[in-house]
Amino acid sequence: MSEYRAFNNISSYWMEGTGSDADIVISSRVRLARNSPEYPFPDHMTLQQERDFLNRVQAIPKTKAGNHLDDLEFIDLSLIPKEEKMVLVEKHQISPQLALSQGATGLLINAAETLSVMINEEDHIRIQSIYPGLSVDQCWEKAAAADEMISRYIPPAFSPKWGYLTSCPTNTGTGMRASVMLHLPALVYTKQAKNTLDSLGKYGFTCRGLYGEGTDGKGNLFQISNQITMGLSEQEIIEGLNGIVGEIVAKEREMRKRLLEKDRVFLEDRVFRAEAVLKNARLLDSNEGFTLFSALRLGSDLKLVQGYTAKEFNQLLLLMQPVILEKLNRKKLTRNEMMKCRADLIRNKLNGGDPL
Amino acid sequence: MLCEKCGMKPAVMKIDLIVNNEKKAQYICEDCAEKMMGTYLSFDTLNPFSLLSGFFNAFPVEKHTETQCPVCGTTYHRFMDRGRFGCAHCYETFGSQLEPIFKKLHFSSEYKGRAPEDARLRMRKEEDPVAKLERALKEAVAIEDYETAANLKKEIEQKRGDRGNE
Ligand SMILES: [Zn+2]
Ligand SMILES: [Zn+2]
Repeated sequence: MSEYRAFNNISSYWMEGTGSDADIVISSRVRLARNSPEYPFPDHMTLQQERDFLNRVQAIPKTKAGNHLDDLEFIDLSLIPKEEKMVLVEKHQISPQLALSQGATGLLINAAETLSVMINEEDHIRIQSIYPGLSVDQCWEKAAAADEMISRYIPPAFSPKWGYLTSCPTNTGTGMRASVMLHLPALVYTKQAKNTLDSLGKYGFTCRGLYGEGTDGKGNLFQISNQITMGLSEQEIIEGLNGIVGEIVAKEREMRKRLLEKDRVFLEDRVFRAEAVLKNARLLDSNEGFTLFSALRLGSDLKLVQGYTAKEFNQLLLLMQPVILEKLNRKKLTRNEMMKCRADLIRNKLNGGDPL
Repeated sequence: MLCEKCGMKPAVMKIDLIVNNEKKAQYICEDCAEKMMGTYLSFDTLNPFSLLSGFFNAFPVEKHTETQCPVCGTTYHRFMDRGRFGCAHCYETFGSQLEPIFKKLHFSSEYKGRAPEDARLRMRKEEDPVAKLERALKEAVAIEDYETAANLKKEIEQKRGDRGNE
């Protein structure tokens, strides 16, 4: 097992279940894409160039400003086995590309995992900040501070005409992707999700299932993010996102209320069945797990069932993840072992235990 | 573009393999990615590779417009094909040809965000003596060097007092 804390912490701070509208907004994220004009973009870099650039970034946490910003830990991802890297994917800290690539890639990450920097992904530098609840402003503040610090050591490729120069033209300009992860079961149950979410495009935002395309994604979990990075300032993009998320949260609450008033039996049936299965199942596959998780979380938000916290629900989401389950078991699991392990951990947790 | 591993589904991401100590790109589909990962693909951190290939068909490349970046060697044709620049200098090279692309992608080709200089100015402002001392104080407290912290505190109060009298 690797000695880095990022592989050994199962939780990240974004799972705390705090922040505003935390019953519906699970987490917020701001990502900034930055490059150095001194090297070609990672796609065109040789292995040696990647290695050189990695070494330059590696030195930053040891500098005074770097040290002052946060307790950043540097990880040379080319030295880490794939299974370990997947833990970071399951915690939403690094992208699948970065985890699968065999090039000289790296990561800077703080202890709370509220700030991380992917190195040599699609861009030289991708700064990310993630916080629980609707907290895009807080994410921006953190990411911008990291950007200011890093740009002292690695001046970014920037043109007054186009803004920050990135590998992909969809990021050119602010290089910023601001996003929120939402749990929208009532919009899905009432068949309002598709309409509501498809309409975001004309405002320059996009929505997709967190796992899987469309509105039948696992666990009724969605991600909304800005699509445009030109024509608006960072602040305007964030205000726009906050506004749109506010409207969607209001709509979800309205549909929850309507379900309670008009379809209470349907709702109670789903919620209590979910609770019964999760508290008693001996084998649980992740698809069923995601569906039941969503129903029980909704039931808890609406006070149909008592005694659960948002943090516990976020931890349940982790127990759907195969690599984290293997990590908790310290061994590779067969499909059946995985289903048994998931069922055991969730049952134990919902009956008052604390497996994490 | 089809998955280079299974040849069945559209590729959604590019990964770098190392072959004979050199990087080699491989474009893979969702299914192959999940198989390699041993876990689910979540879309919050995925770069939209598949979204782009279709988008660029709307901008046919004419032979006479073929330009090549002198720094990284990326041609306009390749840029349109992959939807990716090769280096920061490609932006100058392709210059005016980018305007309609940005307009279509972002509804605007005008940059309104902040500049790195703004950040630098903010940093300089932050470097005023009191802010600097306050930062040192925070660091001293963090490493439990209370003697230094006490001295810094005195100095800060003094500086603030001076300012009040101005
Ligand atoms: Zn494939
Ligand atoms: Zn170039």
